[in-house]
Amino acid sequence: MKVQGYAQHTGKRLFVTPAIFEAGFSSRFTRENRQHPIYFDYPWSETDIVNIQLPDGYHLDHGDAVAQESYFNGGRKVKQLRAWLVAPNGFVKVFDKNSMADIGVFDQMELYNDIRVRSIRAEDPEIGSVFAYESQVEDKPLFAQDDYQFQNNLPAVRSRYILTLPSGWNATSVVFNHEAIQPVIDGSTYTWELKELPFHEHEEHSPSMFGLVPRLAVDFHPPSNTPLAAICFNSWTDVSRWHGQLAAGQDQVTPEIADKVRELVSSAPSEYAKIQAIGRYVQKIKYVAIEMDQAHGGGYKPHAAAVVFRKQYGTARIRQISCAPC
Amino acid sequence: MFALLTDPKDPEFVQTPLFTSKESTLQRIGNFTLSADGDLEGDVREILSGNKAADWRKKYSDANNDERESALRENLKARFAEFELTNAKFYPSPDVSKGVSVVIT
Repeated sequence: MKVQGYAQHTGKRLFVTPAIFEAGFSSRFTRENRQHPIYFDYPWSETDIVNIQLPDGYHLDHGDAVAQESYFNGGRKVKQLRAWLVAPNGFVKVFDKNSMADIGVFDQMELYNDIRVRSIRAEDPEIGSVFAYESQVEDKPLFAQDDYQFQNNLPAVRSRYILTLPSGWNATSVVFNHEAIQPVIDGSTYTWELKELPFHEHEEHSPSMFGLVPRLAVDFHPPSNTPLAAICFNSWTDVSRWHGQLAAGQDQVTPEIADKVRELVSSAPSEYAKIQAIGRYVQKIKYVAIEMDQAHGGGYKPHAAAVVFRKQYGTARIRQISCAPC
Repeated sequence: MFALLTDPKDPEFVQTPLFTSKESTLQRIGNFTLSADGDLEGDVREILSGNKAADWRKKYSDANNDERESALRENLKARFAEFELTNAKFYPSPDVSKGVSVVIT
């Protein structure tokens, strides 16, 4: 027998459900409410063995469905994370707390950070399954901004970001990788929505999804004269002022640093040569990123110059501050 | 299911034992080739036993092979928008205590 168009094309992929013997049957378990159990004439067992020879050049690509939320001590908390996997035959698998993994985040650019992730993974779900998850997160942001990525590489039928602000607040937004989206505003609730977002095929050396898929950045603006104004940015000057306060004191020069600077510039004949000597020394400090205390600006706040000088490693922020005038 | 045990002195209704799921089985084996344009082509063999085989016999033991194939086509038509069925063969064992095989190509 031959079933035309059984597998679906998406980009360079073919999506095929191996459960061909169940294909086209409606599930007996889809009703929301049922007063009586489903009646079967008798108990029986089924065994299906399906061997599928793939077309030349194709290989099997298992896809896991993952729900995850990040958190860090003293700031962002994951209050709840639940997930469900609904198989094509209607069987619902519920993922509870015991299914959740708690793992550290690894970033190739960093030696260590204290961000962790709670995650639920449905491994290799049957094609045609629906994976759903719901999370509740409580965050104490460093500044009054949020961002939302409307999709990953997978297509999205509908993707929506809804924001409800306290009375008297308002929001402004910018959209990247997509034309502007005007939010629907109902009182203090703003809704941004996109529909029918396409699949993004992975290409070697392509930009990350961050630079390809629609992304929303939102600024929250409190009523004027609120103490929260310090964490609200209306301009780059505001950003600079915020960061200046965060980094204040980290560039403090110790006697050891001052001695080293004097040594470096002692034979420099000009101001430019002095800058060159200091710059070359700082460039030899090794790049090692350690981002801790995220709740209080870790990741944005440079490590103290004295610590970097003693340990001889740091990040771009540390190098920048190490070059600050003594 | 209840059955009447006839006896001139002491007739009795008794509940007959049920087959367990191990005694009523449906085994389906498919060998397919997927083409790059998404078509799936191959052979299927179904082996039914116990109540599954009894159900099949109840529906099709009086039907001829053309009628059985026609019923199979209707079943496939309800499930797939487009398909081709080359041949279907049915092997109900004459011994009703044994199973039924269906080979679809």
